[in-house]
Amino acid sequence: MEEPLLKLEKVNVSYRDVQVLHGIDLEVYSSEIVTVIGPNGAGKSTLLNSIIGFEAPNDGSVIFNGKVITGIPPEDTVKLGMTIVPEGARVFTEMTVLDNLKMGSYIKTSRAYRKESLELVFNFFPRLHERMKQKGGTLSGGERQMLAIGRALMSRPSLLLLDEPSLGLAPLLVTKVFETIVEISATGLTVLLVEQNVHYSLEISKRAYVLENGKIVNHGLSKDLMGNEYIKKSYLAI
Amino acid sequence: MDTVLAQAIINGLLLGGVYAAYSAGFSLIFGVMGVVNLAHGELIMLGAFTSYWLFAYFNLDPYLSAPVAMGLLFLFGYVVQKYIINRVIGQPHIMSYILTFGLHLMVANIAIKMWTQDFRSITTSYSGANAAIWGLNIPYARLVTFIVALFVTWGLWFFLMRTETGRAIRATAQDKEVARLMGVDIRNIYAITFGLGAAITGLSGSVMSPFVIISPEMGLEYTIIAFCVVVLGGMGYMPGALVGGLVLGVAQSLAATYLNAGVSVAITFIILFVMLIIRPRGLLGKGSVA
Repeated sequence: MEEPLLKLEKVNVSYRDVQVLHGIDLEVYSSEIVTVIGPNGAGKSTLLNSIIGFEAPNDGSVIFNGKVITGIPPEDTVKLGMTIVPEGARVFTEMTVLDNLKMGSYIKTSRAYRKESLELVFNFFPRLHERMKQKGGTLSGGERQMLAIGRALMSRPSLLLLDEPSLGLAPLLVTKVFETIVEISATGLTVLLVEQNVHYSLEISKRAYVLENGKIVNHGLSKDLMGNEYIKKSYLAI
Repeated sequence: MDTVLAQAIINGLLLGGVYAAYSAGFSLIFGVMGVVNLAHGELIMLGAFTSYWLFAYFNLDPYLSAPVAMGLLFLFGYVVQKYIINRVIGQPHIMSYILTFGLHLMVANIAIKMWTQDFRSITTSYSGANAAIWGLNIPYARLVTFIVALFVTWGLWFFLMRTETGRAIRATAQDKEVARLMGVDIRNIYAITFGLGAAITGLSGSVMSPFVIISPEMGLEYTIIAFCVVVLGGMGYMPGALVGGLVLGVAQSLAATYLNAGVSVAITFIILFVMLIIRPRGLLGKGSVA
């Protein structure tokens, strides 16, 4: 079997004395969409932070593309080919849409492809092209999420991490965001998605992990988990 | 318009230009890092002394030594930020006040040790020269400083808006965590920003050297004025320093002409006081670097 693009081995993360993640094992293979579901406060964002480099695991290892990247800070992990759409989009509100996107290709390797990347992003999100000269802060919630995704794509990553992309969006926009993730994945990009919207994320993903109280309590093919009684009862409210 | 009023306004604008020239760097450093640099005046002092010594030993004109001052101050600022101020970034504001106040004391006192407390000045052929237009006096050296202020404001704006590093500086000022996600080494950006702020401040010290008194203890006074100018114009907003400087300069000049010279200093603080009550973000301030 091929090597996973991203692999977490027994990752423990603590904030001061409180352990947030307990022995996380997780694998993401090239070109799949993998989702991590779980309730608020389960440690989903911490999980992504420990991969991207904001939190250094105190134990265990993070392996990306065959290279151990445990504890490498975010300004360096992006250079290795992974990028994140942070929770709440966090676009640069005082910068134009175009400048936001250009920031996405700040690293030297992606700066060389800036023009092509911009075309690619504008293809995905024609709306961003229309609003190119507007400040990030003037965009609607849905547009900001598009901008944050576009900005992430500008670095030409091989792995895209998404932290609650549907949070706070109107239902119609939620559908749109998930459709976009599928489209992006179809271009060959690998996606690790952290979501509270369990229904949609199981629908678009191939495999899923269930994170509760900092532990992986279940994992498997998304379509199997959708049929799982426990998942149905606790997350899908069926 | 009568000549006295016109002259007062011209004096005010030229004075304001001087204020703007040496305040822009203060605004930049605050806007990006949230550091109120209490050693700001020392950067002016170092710029002025660079020109003074090059004039004293090599008879080099201050306008020709200005680029040297810029270069030296950039290096100084870069190193100070990288190895000293970066240690308190992210700590409560009071830490950076204490640290930069300590820097102020250290730099000023080392300068006294090296150069004594003597007052010095550079007397060039144009030091006291005026252009007379329609019966109004325009001192050349101040006019040059005014033009430098315009150029610095424009240059800084251009750099921030149009260059890769400038964009990274703005991104860091707005959201340093997300800037890191974009691959920005924010500690290096901070060092570059402080270097840049120090360079333009050193430049101002250099171009002011033909008409100000140069001494190791000159700094503090300038720090206070720069603070007022930047609060008035809007902290962190580049054209704010220019507008703040001009408003303050004209107000002081009018007060000195029609009231008396003593009142003109008080006017500064009255304006600052009123501003903080009615519009704390400043005339043009938006609360972020742009």
